[in-house]
Amino acid sequence: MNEALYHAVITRLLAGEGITNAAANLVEAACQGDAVLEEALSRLGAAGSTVTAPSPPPASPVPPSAYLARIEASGFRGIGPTAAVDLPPGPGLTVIQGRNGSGKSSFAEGLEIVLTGTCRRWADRPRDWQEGWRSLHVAGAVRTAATFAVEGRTAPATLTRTWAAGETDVDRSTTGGDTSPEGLGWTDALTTFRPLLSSRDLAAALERGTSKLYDEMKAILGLAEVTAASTRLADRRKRLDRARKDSRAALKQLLPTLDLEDPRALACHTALKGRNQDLDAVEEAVLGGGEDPDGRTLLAGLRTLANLPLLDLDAVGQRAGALRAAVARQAAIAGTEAARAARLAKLLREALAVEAETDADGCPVCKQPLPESWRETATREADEAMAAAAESRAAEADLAAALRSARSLITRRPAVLAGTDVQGLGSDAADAWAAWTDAPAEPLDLADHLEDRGVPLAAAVRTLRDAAKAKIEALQDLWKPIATRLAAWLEGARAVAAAEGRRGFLKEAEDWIKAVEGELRDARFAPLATQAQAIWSTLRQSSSVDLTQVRLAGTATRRKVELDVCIDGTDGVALGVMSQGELNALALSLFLPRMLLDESPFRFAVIDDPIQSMDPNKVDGLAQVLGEAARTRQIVVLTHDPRLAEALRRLDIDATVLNVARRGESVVEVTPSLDPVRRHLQDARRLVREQDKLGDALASRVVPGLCRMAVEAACQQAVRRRRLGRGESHDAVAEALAEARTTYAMVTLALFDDPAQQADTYPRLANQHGEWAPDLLRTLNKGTHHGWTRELDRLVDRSRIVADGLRK
Amino acid sequence: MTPDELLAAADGLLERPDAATEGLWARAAALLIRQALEGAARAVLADRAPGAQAASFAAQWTVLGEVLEEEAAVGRRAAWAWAALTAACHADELRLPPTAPELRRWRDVAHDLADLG
Repeated sequence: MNEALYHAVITRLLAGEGITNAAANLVEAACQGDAVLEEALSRLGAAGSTVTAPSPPPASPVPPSAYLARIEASGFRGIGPTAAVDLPPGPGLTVIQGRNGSGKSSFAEGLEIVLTGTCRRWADRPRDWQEGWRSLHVAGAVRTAATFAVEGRTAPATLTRTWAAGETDVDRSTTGGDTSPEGLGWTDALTTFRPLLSSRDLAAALERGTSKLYDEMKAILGLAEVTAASTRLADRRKRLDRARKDSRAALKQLLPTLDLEDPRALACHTALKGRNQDLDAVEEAVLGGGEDPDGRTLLAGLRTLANLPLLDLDAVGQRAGALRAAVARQAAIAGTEAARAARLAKLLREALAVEAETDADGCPVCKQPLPESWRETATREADEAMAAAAESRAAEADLAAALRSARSLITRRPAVLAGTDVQGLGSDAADAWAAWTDAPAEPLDLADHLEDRGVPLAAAVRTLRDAAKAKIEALQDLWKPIATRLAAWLEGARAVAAAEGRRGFLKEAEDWIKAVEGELRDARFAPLATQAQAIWSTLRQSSSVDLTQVRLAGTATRRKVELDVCIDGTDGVALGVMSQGELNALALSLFLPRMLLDESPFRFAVIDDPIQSMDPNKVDGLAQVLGEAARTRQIVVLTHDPRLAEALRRLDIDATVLNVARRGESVVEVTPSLDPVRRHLQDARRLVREQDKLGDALASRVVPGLCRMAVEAACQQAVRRRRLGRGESHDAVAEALAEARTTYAMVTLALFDDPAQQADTYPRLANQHGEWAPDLLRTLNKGTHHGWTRELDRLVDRSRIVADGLRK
Repeated sequence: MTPDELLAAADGLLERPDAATEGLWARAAALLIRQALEGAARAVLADRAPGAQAASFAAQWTVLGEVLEEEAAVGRRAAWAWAALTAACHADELRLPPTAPELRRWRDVAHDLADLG
């Protein structure tokens, strides 16, 4: 960024108003280029970074200024053999006039190609438009050249472009000569201060819309680097905007897929549907690092169901059988010796104990004396009975064991089976389990219960387990692809979230620098606008259109050049009501100041055909504008309209006028166009002088006609000067001149300002110059039609005297 | 000089560039072609409408159209070329000299008329 501009921006930054420190850092970095901005973004928010007072960057070298000394071309466009326009290389006005097709624009286009390598006239046209770029009359190489008087160079610098003999593409030329536009450091200036202006530019300027005009006008303000900085910030902000938008769009597509029974999906849905997204929750769900409590219950519940213990139906059968067997064995023993023996042994043991405790003789039951052997016998019998009773006890113990074993199968219903509908998988298993635990006490009933309820329970549990497993798998199948997409999305969303702060600062920096750009733009454009208005007020002459304001306004797609136009005191008039001539003049008013800027290295401005549909008053205005500009700049105007040269002469504005004409074989001649009176006389004199070479006949046939033109031209100048001078309109003067069809009538009008005074014409001429003067007129008339052989030298001399007399 | 001689001289100015006539050739050629045209017209009128020469040039061109019957088109073009040449042969600061293609057209018309003489 150039020094002055950088200072202007940074000074405002240091004032620090209306901008945060972080955004200020970004503005500063953006002014220094892409790399610096990237670095600043990467350490955005790091502590201790503040805007530093700028160390002035090295000033870019100012390109040398130059005047145009010569344009030359051969074989190019309408120019056959080498033709050249020599221009006085300094401030001043040169008008190059020629009829359409004379080759004059070829000079302007030749210069354009030398400077820019291409030609706008063809640039956006189809291929066949370009074919005329090569003269049909020259077979060999094509060449264009321009010579400049460049500041700091002792010798003029010639820049050339050549095309090989067979080249068909106008854009494929070879540069040559002493140096090149790049070598002179003009590359940027050629865009910014383009020293070439064509009627096409003028016509297009307002028609293409004022946004294009805005671009062209703004380019000259030298704010490109601020704009670039602003664009740098905007580009990055837009990139973040796009990422955010993409992330949101992707989420919008993802959200409906999360409408699942799956708790992880639901968790993500909850985390994402609101404005404040909980990305951590999503990450947990996706990576499975933890589920929310509900999710754990469901999935864990399903897993518990899938792992429910299956009843061992073999064991159920065995235990039911064992139970029944134990009951049967006990039943078999009951009522047998074994059962009675136990009671007998018990009785005998009791009896022995009673007998031993008491001294009584005899049996306490039957009161009979007990024999000596009773004790012994009873003890033996008791022992025997005891042995017999053990079997009965074993049967009893067996039954108890079988009961315990059977009952151990009746486990409590797992908690997971609580409720009427287990995880949406039905209540069969729960019901079966409930029935299972509702076991009867009676052993045989229990055995039946085991067998009756065990089989359905096992079946129900197996069904439930399978269903739970299937459900888990189904959930996994649905979830996995969603999880994958979520994980991918999450990465972007994290980046977007992380960039949110940066985006804010970028936006702030962008807004700030745009505002500064606008301020600088307005400040720098103001003097140009004033100049444009001044030029317009000279140009417009009798036009009722007033240009009250020119301003660059808006930005981006709403940028435009605001032209406040006022017609007859009515404000806010649309450009559409202006005539084409007025529009062209307005465009010229806008473009000319740019060509005259001091910052431009081009001290010359070449304007090709500025007069398009201009009324004569505007041509007078244009002559004045160009004359004014030519005081400090070299202005070269190419035109097909001789009114400009006429106006310059009449208004006494210093200018060099050159005529361009194309003869046979595309020989393009450039000759100085003197005042027409002098020109015709000089031409006549040349023919007289060259009689030996050209033959007497030619001189005798042509000289009288040229002399007559000299006299007529003098008349017209006199009439025009006089009548316009007293305020008559151009149209009225042109009409008066058109009515004076003959030389005689023209002289009358010049002498008396009254076409009716024809009778006085010859006497007045005779009175002024002598009798020869009326004779001269007669001779010129006769000679124009039939030739005149005698004393041609004197004819020319006398014509000059009469013409000068008429002009006075 | 005959019309043909005048036209040959005009042709030389037009088609054979020469520094001696640089800048003046167009007006000079216009003067020559007009003289040739007028000469050719005079010849035709002398032949077909003796006495018409007493009339003004403008009237002569009208007569020419009348007498040329079969070649009326040549007469019309000659009248048109003469009017254009006349404008080119009088001074007018607001008009640039005629171009080579214009002069060639007028030259051809003059030739056509001369051929009828």
